[in-house]
Amino acid sequence: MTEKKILFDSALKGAGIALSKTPTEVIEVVKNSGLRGRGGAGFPTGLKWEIAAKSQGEHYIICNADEGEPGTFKDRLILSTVPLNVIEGIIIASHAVGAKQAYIYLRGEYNYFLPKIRKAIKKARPLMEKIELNLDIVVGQGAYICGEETAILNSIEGHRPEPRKRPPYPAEKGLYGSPTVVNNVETLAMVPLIFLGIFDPKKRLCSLSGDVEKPGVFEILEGKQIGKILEEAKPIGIPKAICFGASGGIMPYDPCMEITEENIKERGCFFGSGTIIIVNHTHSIVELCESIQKFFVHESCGYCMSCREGSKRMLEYIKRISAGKATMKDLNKLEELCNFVSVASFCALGRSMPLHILTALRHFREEFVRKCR
Amino acid sequence: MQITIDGKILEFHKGQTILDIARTNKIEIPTLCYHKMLKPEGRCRVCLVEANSKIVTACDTLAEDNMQVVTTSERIRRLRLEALNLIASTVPKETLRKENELTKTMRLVGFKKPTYKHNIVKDKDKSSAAIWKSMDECIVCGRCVQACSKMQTVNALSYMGRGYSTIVVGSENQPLKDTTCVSCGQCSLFCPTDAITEASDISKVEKALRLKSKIKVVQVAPSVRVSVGEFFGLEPGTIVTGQIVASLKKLGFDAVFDTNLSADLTIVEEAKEFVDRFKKGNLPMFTSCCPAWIDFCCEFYPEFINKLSNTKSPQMMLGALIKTYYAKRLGLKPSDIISVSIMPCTAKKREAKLKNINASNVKDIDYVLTTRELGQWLKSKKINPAKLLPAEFDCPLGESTGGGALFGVTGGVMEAALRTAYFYIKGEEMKDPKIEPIRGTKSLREFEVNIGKNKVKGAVAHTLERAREIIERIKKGESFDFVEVMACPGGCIGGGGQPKPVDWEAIEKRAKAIYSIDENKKIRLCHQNPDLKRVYETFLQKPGSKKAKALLHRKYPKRGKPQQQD
Ligand code: SF4
Ligand code: SF4
Ligand code: SF4
Ligand code: FES
Repeated sequence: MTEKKILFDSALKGAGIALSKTPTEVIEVVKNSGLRGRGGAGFPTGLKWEIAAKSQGEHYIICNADEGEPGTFKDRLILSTVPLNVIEGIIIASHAVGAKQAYIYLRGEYNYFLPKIRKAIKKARPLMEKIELNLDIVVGQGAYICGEETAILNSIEGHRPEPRKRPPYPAEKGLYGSPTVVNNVETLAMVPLIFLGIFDPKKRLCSLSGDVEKPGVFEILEGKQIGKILEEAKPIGIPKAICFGASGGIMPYDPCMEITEENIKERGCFFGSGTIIIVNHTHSIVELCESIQKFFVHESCGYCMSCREGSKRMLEYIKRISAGKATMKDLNKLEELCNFVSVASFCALGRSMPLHILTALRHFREEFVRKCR
Repeated sequence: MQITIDGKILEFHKGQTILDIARTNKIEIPTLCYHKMLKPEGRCRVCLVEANSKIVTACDTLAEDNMQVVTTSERIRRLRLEALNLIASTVPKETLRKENELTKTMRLVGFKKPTYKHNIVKDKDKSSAAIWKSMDECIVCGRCVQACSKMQTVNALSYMGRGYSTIVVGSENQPLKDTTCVSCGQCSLFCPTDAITEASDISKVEKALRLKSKIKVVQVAPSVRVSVGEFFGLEPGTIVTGQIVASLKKLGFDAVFDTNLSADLTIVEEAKEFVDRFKKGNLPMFTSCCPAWIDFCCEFYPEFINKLSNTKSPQMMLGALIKTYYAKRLGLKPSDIISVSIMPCTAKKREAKLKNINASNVKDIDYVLTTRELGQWLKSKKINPAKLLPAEFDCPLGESTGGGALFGVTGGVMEAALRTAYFYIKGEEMKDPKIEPIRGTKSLREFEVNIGKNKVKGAVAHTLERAREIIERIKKGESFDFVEVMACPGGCIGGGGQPKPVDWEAIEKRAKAIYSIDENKKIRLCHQNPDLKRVYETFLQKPGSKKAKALLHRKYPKRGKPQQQD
């Protein structure tokens, strides 16, 4: 996989400009830029900062670098090519909300980046000193749930990585009960570009993999046709479906579909973390669901019953279908169970877990039905 | 602020959850992991309702102004059934046939039988002398872990694994006996199934009762008489003292003695110790009748061990008298007697097995049963105490005073001890033995009592969270003369071996009953107990005598929980 430099290297200039402004001005600029979270939920970044800044207590910034979504590796590319942009983002965010302590919560598997990140921190030290910011790196506990921002809080506090009830949102009551901004790597890396005047909210990074010759990170402009992107990545075989990571759902491949949040949402899917996995004609959707579901069974944190037990029972159903041992009644029960888990689970992990099955049943139902007795 | 639940417009105040509001207005929402005495964690997903067209859990969702809530609809019903289907599939079939909070919720929702296959979890832990844990029956509701880590700040339990293999284990996956566990049993009391229970001794006691050559005696703790009736449909706080005596006779015991008498004895010795220390220094003095608190102090605050009173608990004092004084009167060897106690408490099970706790050359207490075990046992023998004629405790260890009765409730030991200390210091009796400022349900109460020219500054704490708080304050420089600690909420009436499910209203009713036992006693001052006077005259000489010290007082380790025998 080529690790081409895909983002403009701000080289501390963005942060330099931002620190010459007042925190309120910085928040205003970020709000007006149209930047939204790139980790999943897509919450407006400036607004998040504003909520935190207005909440009482010490303030914390956390950079979520626990990139655990299968088929997602854009944060890895950012950290290896422009780590300084991320540090700048952290500095600007800290200045905006008044944080004196920030953390990078790094995925365990990415700890080989530590020297690179430390070097970047060293370069940024003068700016950090200017705002009396201390920045620590916490290496994650290797659990998918740590991508969930409240689970990160528990993990940093030394507790079992489990999600917390929201509200209160971390921006109001986060780490140690204090207002905390949790931003994803890509989000923070965009922040200095705003101050250099070169940020375009219509562009975002996307991790593309699956049945393609050239997987990698692509910068895509909203509205671009998926077929055009695939021309670059060179499909292997005949593309049949697009899978948006484990939690983004599965939909039929349509080369003319323009990539926009709305178009994807219309098909029941979710483009939150910018993940595209191309699935070709040789794969069975049932088997794809089985492997995704195995992932979830392994990654459910165990906090709430619905995700803990539901994930296991969902996999049992899919295995039975896959083995040709299920009846149509089983299929209906599976669907009912999926609907239960998607509304009854405690956190976003559980609630989005059934999406791959529900969308597969919507778009590829006959593949399931064919296997049922 | 206003909320609409099922079409009813209801007032509420900030911070109330949907469930709080529903319950205060008598709207039924089924729950399972939720417990009123704990913080809602939202783990079981049974309490689903629709709020502003979204599905949420009622127990942990804060109400918002103008929220529209629906608690009964076909959709909600189906979701709750699915939730219970998933939960019920995690436990063995026998659990679903028992009476417990899980089956109660199942009935409420109208759920019959799980459709998924049960997969067995083989983790069992019987290492502790007080608590058994069997994870196959666990539904991971989280109550035990919360009770242990928040209410008791002991952190002996934690979760291991993730997803469906999540189980509750001793901290750092150690057997419970090697953790900081203080045996309070609150985990077992809150457990909605029987995944955590007391270490059961019923079968051992039944076997012992069949030994023809032995004299079988049993003692009954102060708080058991106000709670065991609940197993037989009586209201919490129904006093069934005489009926318990009668039932125990029916079960085959030769003599039934009253722990209230040894509670009197504890007070006589402890008040003496307090007065001595009050004169000489080494204050504050901490009470020592709660073995879970003793374990806690030794484990977490070894620097305070020398502040613990060295008087034994009432259970061990009566055990000592049974195997020495009583044995001597009958001309028996201590080993000729089997001594059983009925306690509200799981920690007392471990206490009876400690090294250096015995006054005789054998175990002073052979077996300890909890209130729950007694209830179970009686039920299995089809004995209903409510239907029996009351009987009297046996001589020579059957008389007790109101002061001894108070041991069952938080603040009771303090109140009884100060009544007697008053007598020791002033040489005259208190006019009104009721010491109001000590009473109440607040988990930490502070007060001052005047005894002549002396002011005694005291504090009463229940739950170990509060014990920790008071110790931390003392460490920061605050001073107290006398501090009572009970590990369980409300004192022993909320003990880890009491009837399930526990709830605060029941605890309060039991407290009321305890106070009424005190008020209705002719003698309310422990040192006036006629049976005890005889024990001192013929056997112990006087409070604090050499013999009393040898039999009724104990030593503590330098640090760490006292060790068990075997
Ligand atoms: S008995 Fe008490 S200390 Fe031990 S695990 Fe249970 S709650 Fe914790
Ligand atoms: S052991 Fe009991 S109280 Fe603890 S989590 Fe399991 S079911 Fe709940
Ligand atoms: S408060 Fe009572 S029931 Fe609870 S551990 Fe202490 S002695 Fe036992
Ligand atoms: S009772 Fe509300 S989630 Fe368990």
